[in-house]
Amino acid sequence: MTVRLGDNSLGYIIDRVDVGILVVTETLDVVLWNRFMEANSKVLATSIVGKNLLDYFPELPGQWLDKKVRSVQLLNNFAFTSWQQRPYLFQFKHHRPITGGVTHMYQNCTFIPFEGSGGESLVCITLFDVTDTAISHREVLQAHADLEELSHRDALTGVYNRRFMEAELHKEFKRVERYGGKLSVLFLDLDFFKRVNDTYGHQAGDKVLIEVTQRISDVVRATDYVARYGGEEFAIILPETDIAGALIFANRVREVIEKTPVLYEEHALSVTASLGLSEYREGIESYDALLDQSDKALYMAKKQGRNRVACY
Amino acid sequence: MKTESLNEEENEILQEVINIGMGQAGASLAKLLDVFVNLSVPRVSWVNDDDFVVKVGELVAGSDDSWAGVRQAFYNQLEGEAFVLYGTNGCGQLADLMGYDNNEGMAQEELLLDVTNILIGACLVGVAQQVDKEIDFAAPTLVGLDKPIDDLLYSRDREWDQCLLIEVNFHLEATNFACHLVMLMSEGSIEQLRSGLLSFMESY
Repeated sequence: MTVRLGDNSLGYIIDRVDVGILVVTETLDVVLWNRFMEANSKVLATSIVGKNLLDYFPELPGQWLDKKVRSVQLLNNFAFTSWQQRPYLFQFKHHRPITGGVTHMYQNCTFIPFEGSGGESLVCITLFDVTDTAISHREVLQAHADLEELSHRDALTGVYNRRFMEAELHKEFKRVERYGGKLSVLFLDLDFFKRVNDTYGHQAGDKVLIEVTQRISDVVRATDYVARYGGEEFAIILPETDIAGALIFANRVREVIEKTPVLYEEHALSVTASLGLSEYREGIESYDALLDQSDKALYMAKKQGRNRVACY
Repeated sequence: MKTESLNEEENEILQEVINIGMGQAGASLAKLLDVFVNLSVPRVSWVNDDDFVVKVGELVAGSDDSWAGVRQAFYNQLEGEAFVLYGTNGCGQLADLMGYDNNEGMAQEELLLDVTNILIGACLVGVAQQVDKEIDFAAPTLVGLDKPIDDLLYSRDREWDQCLLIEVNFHLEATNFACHLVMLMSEGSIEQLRSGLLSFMESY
């Protein structure tokens, strides 16, 4: 025995399928409005069928919709809209009020042209709820951004790492090389840091690094880049700063490190830093050379007795 | 087993079928935008997967530096994926014609998706009708905007090793809008296409 669908079966399926389905004429009069549309819009089929869609939903992009429906009929071709470009056609609430963090239902729509029984040009519009997809997509983008940010950071101190700092310095270097401007690079190395580690242990050393980083971060400008270059060595990029300005800044940094001892358990650890400074001048070939100059200046500061700033 | 590309005769018929398809696509676009559309005779060629990126690169070389790419899957008896590549310089002028509000943030993207849908739909429906095969379409998606060509075509895992390249330039009245259409088809589809082309020829 063959099972057959009843007369009303297709109508029932269209009504109950978990997709918004509506049919409109070329003047946007509603011909069909299924249960999904009723439930989400709170407008019943019995009220809207035979009426103009825009009268009930004046917030719809009328001109665009009109053009879309006409183009679908004219070309006799399906058309689509995606949530990525047009988040929704109908402004419906979504069904994830707790977990969503979004304000509306994201929709993908398809426009399907066909002929009515009397030869009328009709367009069926289907609406798919893609809120879940949109939320996942946003979460992936966020995770991606978080990972990227993490990959720029030093795990212990939270300032930039060497790789990111060198990439940024490279860009800054290109910028002043091409357009002119000022650029200084500061190297900072904590004095006798090994003694802290040897005497009080590595946790004490870590505490000193974190504290010193915090103090440096408190005095830099938002446009400067602080990076842990390695071990107890830090580099600070100072865009739009000449050597005179950088010297004032370097001495402030030196002072805030020296002024207050770092507290670790019951110990007050005196910390000082040596700093080497150089600025971009025409003819310097690469950012490496600039780093190298600052490193040489740092070496001079160490040699001259530490806890001081030296300029290249 | 690797599917053989079409032989010379079949390719000639294919060229003819695509000419008609693209003609319909151009006519559709003209009807929609209400402007004259001039289109070049489509250049049709086959490439292997291995040199897909290189060949497409050569095809579009010089006409623009950066590109927008839109892909659209088609399925049923003919199945595969079509790409349309737009030179960044050319596609800026379409928005007004299509009735988009330029202030709307995503208008440019949506416009490219719409134009792609129209071009691919018109061309492939035209081809499918002539060879008497069923075809349906998924929604088009944006591959990238303002990218070098390699970035747009690069794919980790291309399943099909025969690609049909169709190069066509559309020039709209008063604008310099050109695009390239690239199609990848499954082996099964190429067989379907072959059988369709043969009956198309016999019907003449």
